[in-house]
Amino acid sequence: METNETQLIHRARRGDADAFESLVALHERFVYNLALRTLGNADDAADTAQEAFVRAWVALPAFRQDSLFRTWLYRIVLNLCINRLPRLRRELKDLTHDEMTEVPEPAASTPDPLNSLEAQEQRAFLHREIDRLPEQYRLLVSLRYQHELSYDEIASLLDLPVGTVKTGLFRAKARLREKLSTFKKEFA
Amino acid sequence: MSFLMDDPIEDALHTYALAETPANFSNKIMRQVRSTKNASMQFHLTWMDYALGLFLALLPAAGFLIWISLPQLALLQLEFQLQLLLTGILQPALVISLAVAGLMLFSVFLVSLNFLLRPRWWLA
Repeated sequence: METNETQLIHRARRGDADAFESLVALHERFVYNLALRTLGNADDAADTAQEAFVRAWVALPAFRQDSLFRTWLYRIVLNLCINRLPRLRRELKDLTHDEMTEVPEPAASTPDPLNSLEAQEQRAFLHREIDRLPEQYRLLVSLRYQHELSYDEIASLLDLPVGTVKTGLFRAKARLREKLSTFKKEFA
Repeated sequence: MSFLMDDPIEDALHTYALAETPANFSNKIMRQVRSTKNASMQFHLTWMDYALGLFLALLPAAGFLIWISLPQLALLQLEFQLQLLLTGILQPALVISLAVAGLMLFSVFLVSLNFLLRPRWWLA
């Protein structure tokens, strides 16, 4: 698929709109979701994703292929998101201030004694809470778990130290843990 | 307690699904893309290139015209200044100036080469 994508990029760089359409088909869902999770609004996300693809089309001949096309595209989307949410850049930088020297590794998987229905409710609750996280955490969660980027890739994309990315994700999980605790008490 | 909770949280994060794109999303994108010019890799000249070319082509002719239309006295003064420059204490300064000018010209050549060989996507 990568070779296919490389060929599509090569053709699109020469102005082949059909090749670019194939690239859009490959990436539209990820681009849209990145904008959606960052901006938290479907209409804004659709506009931003559309604008990102148009910008990518215009700038494609300058794409040097020394980074992944996906990462390059995400950078365009994020810049557009930051234009719409100027405070996002500051909030991401602020994560650096309370960076943890050592971020604990996630705990090993423990069997959950919850029954299926309860587990489903809990999962749905957590998904809603992920959507309610502050945008800087939502962005990190989306990049890590939806787009499956490594810590290094996220750090490079957001121009942040890797430690800050890990801290941000740890804090996002801590918030979710707090919410889950409240949910469990109410449920009980 | 928190260890027991980490599992549902990891589970929720890993099952945090991608949302569906709006209907006809790629069609909307492509409609806009097709109406937007892509600065493809092909070589093309802009009005600025023509203007610059014309200016450079006219430069020697303008220099020649200025030289022949100068009054005799001014011409003599210029030749005298040139002789002064080529001899005596000003010679090392002239050599250094020429070397610096040559270096700058070479840098300009390299920059222009880079400019010509790279696509000018920002013109689109």
